[in-house]
Formats: sequence, C-alpha cells, structure tokens
Amino acid sequence: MKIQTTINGKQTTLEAAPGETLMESLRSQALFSVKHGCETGDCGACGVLVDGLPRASCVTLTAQVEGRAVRTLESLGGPDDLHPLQQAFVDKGAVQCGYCTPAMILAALSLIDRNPEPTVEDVKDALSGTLCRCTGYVKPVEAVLAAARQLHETHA
Amino acid sequence: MLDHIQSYVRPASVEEALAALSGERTAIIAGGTDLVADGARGVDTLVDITALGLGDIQEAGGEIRLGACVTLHQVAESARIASYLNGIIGEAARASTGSLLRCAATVGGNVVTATPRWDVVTALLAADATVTLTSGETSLADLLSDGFPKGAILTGLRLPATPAGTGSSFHKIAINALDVGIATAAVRLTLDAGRLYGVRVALGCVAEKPVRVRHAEDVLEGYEPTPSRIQEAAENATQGLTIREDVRAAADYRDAMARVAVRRALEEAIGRATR
Repeated sequence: MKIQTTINGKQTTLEAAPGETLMESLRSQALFSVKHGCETGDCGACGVLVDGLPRASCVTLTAQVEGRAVRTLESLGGPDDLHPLQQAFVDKGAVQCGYCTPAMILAALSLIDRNPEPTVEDVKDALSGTLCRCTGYVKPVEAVLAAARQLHETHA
Repeated sequence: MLDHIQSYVRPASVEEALAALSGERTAIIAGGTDLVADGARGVDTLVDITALGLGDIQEAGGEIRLGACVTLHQVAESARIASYLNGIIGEAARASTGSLLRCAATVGGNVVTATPRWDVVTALLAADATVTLTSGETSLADLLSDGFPKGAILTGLRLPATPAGTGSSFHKIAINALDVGIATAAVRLTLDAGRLYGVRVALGCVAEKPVRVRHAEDVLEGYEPTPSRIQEAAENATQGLTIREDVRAAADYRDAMARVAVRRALEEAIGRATR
C-alpha cells in the first residue's frame, strides 16, 4: 500500500504492507529513536506523536496514519542544539539507559503544547504510557516540569 | 507485522463499511489497540471506521451521545463527561490505561472487546448506556451478555439524563496504578425521600465481561440505604458469577475483593447522592 503521510514535517509516501505496524515503517526509515519494546502497547517505548497526540506505534498500523502527521524524537534538536526538553532530561539526570527517553520526551512535548503550565499530576499522567525500569520516574517528572517552566517563560 | 492481512480499506460511509464487512474474514479497526496487539487471527481484510464521523461527544435532549470512535483521551478530557455521574466515566477511562493507548483506544472498541483492561465499560454499564448499532439499539448490558451481532457496526452510545439526588462511584482494586484490575465496581443510584431508586451496580474484571450484579441491585432498590442493607448488597454481589482466575488474583481473592469494591462504591455513591 502507498500511505501518504507527513513524517517530522516532511510529506512522505510510505510503502507498507496492510498489516505493517507504524513502528516497523518508521524504523525502516532509519528513525531509530522509535524503540522496539513489547509489541503489545504495554511498555510505551515505541511512543510517537500522531497529529500531536501520543500513540503507541507498535499497535498502530501504518495504514492508520494515512493523511496524518507523525512526529518522532528526530524532529527535535540534534546533539549540538538540544530542545529544552532534551536539555532538561540531560541536566536533571533523567536519562539512564535511554530506552524510554524518546517516548517520554514526545509525550511531554504533546502535554506542554496543550497545557503550558502542567502540574506534577499532569506530568505523571502524560508519562504514564511509558514504563521506565531505570530512573524510578522522579527525574523524568522533574525534567518535564523544569522544561515546561522554561518554555513558558520564554513565550510569556 | 500482521502478515495475513491482505487488504485495508477506510470507507467514507456506513453503507460502504457494511458492504466491506460482508466478506468472510473481515474485521473492524478503529484505534486498533486490541486488534493489532492480539494479531487479528483469521482476518484478511480490515475495515477502518474512523472516517465515518463517529468521533464526537454530543448532547441532545439531556442525554450524552458518544460516537463509537470517541477515544478514551477525549472522554478523559471532556468537561461534559466530567460533570456527568460524578465524573466516573472519565475516571474509569483514565484508570483503563496509560496516556499512550488512551489516545487510540475508542469507547466503541472497548465495548466490543470488553476485556478486563477497559474499566470504562464497567462505568458505562452502571450509567445504563444504550448501544446504537447499524442493526438496531440494545442496552449495553444485553450486548455484553448476548455478544456482538456479526456484520454490524457499533456507531455510538447514549447515556441517559439522571434526576437530582443521583450519586455515582467508580472503585478499582489493582496491584498498581496502571495494571488491569483485580476487581472494579461502578455504581449509580438515586436517593429520593430517603429511599434508593435506579440502582445500578456493575462489576468488571470479575466475570469474563463486565456485568450488572442484579442480586446487589435488588437488595437496595426501593429501600433505605442502611448499613446492613449495603453490607448485604455487597455480600451478594458475586452470586452466580463464574469468577475469573489469572496471574493477578486467584478466584477466592478476586471474589473477596469484588465484594469490597462494591461496598466501597456503594458507600461513596450514597454519600454523593446525599449532597
């Protein structure tokens, strides 16, 4: 099937089998920030944004994003120009093995876009889709709150 | 990769969708969270129903209408849903799963699969939801016990208006904050001149699908909510049910927790009805 979609802002035609998952398609486009975890939608390592909202790409068929905009971590900054969210994760020590990090950052980005002044509970809920075995969640929550404050100040 | 899927269509009308579903090995896909995770065995054609305009929450004549493709995220964020039945439907939607699957999972899909994860179905059952299908209308309770009619499409759910003095509660007992429940209870009832009416008690995760526990309802309907009646209703809540056993709970523990969940939900609903 040919699936017309926008990936990280760029109009793209994906060639995919009807039963192919979005995770597989994105990784075959070398977007390796999308991690291959449980394949059942439970771990959340595969989290991306579809039309600005979090989505588990391992239980989304590529065909489902026809006409939609998909965003992965690669659309944020690179090593030399980190997005404030990425920088906050570094500064707060919120990255250990890093496997959950892309999905958490994208979920946080989606939250802050919709809710520029999130509470701790808002952040915890936004990150609830992605499991983390390393950090115990405290540092990622702190990082998101810090980034939200910084982004809010920048735009105020 | 679901290798056996050969065809994926997204029709623009209900008529087209029904025609596409008339084949032998077809299945509906909305959010796809259950379908893709479970592998869609025995299916070669998927019919995507997300382009049929079924994604809205509307109000008409005091009742709330949920389109089949309304996501749990929409339910959780809706101010109207939050103000209905003490917010138990939004609460149950948030309890059902984390933020990732919420944005894909749909109320229609949840009602059709009705697996223990989807707490929102238990809350909808206590709300006395009516299900609208292309083949007609039925109560959610009947749909869950009778099964889904082949070839039909679930297009929406209707939630009735409730009188003053109505209180509702949703209570989930689970191992941790995001796990599938051991037992979940949802209650809706109305207090009028000191007596209970319209009592609905729904249990999830206990039987194979969410159920209304009529034994508990009958103990309370028309009576004053005394502590002994509430206790009796809770003790009768699992009567006649075949209790599920899984990695989270053995049958006897689940049975005990179900009765605790019902008692807590009843107490909270009655407290809310009184305010």
